[in-house]
Amino acid sequence: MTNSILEARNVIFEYRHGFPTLKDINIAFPEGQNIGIVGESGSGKSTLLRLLLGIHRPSSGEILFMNKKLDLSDRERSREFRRSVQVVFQDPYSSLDPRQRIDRLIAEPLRSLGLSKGKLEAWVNAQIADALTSVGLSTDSLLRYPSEFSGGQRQRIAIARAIVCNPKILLADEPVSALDVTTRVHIIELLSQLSKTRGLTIAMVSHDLSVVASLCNQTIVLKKGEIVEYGNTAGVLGSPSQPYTQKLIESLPRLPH
Amino acid sequence: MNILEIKNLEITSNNGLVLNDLSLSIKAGERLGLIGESGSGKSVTALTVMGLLPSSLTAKGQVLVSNGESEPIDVILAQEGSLNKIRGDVVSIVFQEPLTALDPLMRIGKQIEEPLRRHQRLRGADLSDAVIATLEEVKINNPARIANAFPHEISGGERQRAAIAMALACQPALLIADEPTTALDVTVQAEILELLDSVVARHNMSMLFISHDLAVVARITNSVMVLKDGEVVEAGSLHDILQFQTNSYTRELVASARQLDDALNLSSLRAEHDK
Repeated sequence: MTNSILEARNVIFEYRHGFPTLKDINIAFPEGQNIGIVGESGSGKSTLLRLLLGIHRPSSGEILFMNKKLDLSDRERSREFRRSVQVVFQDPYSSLDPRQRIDRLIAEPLRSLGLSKGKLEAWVNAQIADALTSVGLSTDSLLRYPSEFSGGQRQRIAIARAIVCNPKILLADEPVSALDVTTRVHIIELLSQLSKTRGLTIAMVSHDLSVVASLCNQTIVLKKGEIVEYGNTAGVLGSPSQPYTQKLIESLPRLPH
Repeated sequence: MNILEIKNLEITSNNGLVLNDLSLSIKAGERLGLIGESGSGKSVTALTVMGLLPSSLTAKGQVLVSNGESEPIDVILAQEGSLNKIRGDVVSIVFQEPLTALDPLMRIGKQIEEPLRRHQRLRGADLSDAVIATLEEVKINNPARIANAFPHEISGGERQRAAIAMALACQPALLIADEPTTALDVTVQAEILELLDSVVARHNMSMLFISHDLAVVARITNSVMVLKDGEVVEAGSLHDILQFQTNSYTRELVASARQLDDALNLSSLRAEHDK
C-alpha cells in the first residue's frame, strides 16, 4: 500500500443542529496523486476540505495524517501537519492582506511555523525568492503590495505563500474559478508543473470538470455529502457510472466544432 | 431598425481611457456577445447603455436606445427622468451576482412588482397575477412561495431566475446580461443559459450578452465582439473567430478555451481509460 498523506475514514460531519453535511466519507490522498473533488454547491466539497485542513473536526470517524490520527493538541505533530498541508483559496482578492508587502506575506508560514527561528535572514530571503520564482514571478515583486497585482498574479502569490514551507500536499478550493479563461489555463499549468518539479500532491475542489480533467488523475464526485463516484479521472469523466456525474459533464458549455 | 446603436463611444476615468471608440448596433431580435477579460471595458459598456455609469467616469459619443417604434433616446445626454422611463421598459439588465442585484430586505414579489407598477401601472390583483406570471415564465417552481420569500431564503439559481424575472417583467426590447452565470454551478448555469435563450427568442428580444467565456457565449449567440484593454480587437461570427484569429489576444483566448475544452474530450478520456 502506498503512503497516504491524508486520509478520511468513515467521516461524518454535521454542522450544529444541522443535517449531516458529509456522510460516511472514505478517501485517501496518496503521495503523487492529484485528486479533484467535484460536485454542485451544497454537496459538501468545501466542508470536506475544511476537515482535511483541521479547521473542523469530524462528528464521527477520523482524519489521518501520515497514517496517524490527526491530533492538533500535540504541538509537534500539529506543526508538522501545518507545514505539510497548505491551502489556496478561490478569491485572490480576499486571501492576501492588503497592508502587507509581498515579501512579508510569503514569509508568513515560515514565521508562524517557527521555521525561520534561529535562521539567518539570508536563508529566509532565499526561501521567499525561491517560492516566488517557482510561481513565475520576478523578485522585483517582493517590495510591492497586493493591490499592485492582477487577479492571476495574486493567485500566484497565494501559491508561493503556500509552497514556501515545502508542503507535501496543497489543498486548493476552486483556485481558478475567479479567474479569466486565459489566466485559468496559466494557473493550471503552474500547478501541474509544481506537482512535477516539487513533488507536490494537489487536492482540488472545483465545480469545473475541465479544470479537474486538466490537472487531476483521480476524481471524486460528491453529491449531497456522499461520494457517488471515485476513481481515475479518465474513467469517471470518460465513462461515468452515475447519472449525476453524467449531468455535471453534460452541463458544461462546450466550444462549437 | 436598431434597438441599440452605439457610435464612437469613448469612456475616460481620471487615470485615462477605459474604452476607446466602440461602435456596434443590435437590431430587433438580434443578439451580440461581448467577450473580454476583466478590465476590458465590457461592463462599463453595459452600464453606459443603462445610464448607470459612475460619476467618476465620463462618456463621449452616442448611445441610442429605442423600443423599435419610438424615436431613439441618446442615454448619454438623457436626463434621469427619461432614463427612468426606458430602464426596465425598453432596456433592462441582469447582473453577475443575484445577491447584490436583489434588495435583501424586500420580498422577491415586491421587487418584481416595482417595474410593473411603474411602467404598466398595474395595481391590486392584476399586479399580483402579473408577478406570478413573470415568475412562471422563468420556470420557477412554486412561484407563490418564491414571491413571498426574501432573497436569502432561496437558492442561488432561484435568485438568478428571480433577477431575470425582474428584468423581463415589462418585456423590454433589449436585455443586457452581464456575466449572468459566472457565480453559478455548471448545472445551474446550463439551465439559466437555456432559459435566457428560450425567453429572449419567444419575445423576439434583442440581447447584449457579456462574458469572458467563449463556450458560454456559444450557447447564446454566434455574433461576437472581442474587447481587450478598452479596444475592440475582433468582431464577427464566433464560428469564424474560433477557426481564424487576426489578433494575438484573441488567438490566446481561443487557445485557452480550446485547451480546457480538449481536456474534456470524452472519447480520448475513454480511450485512455480502456488502455
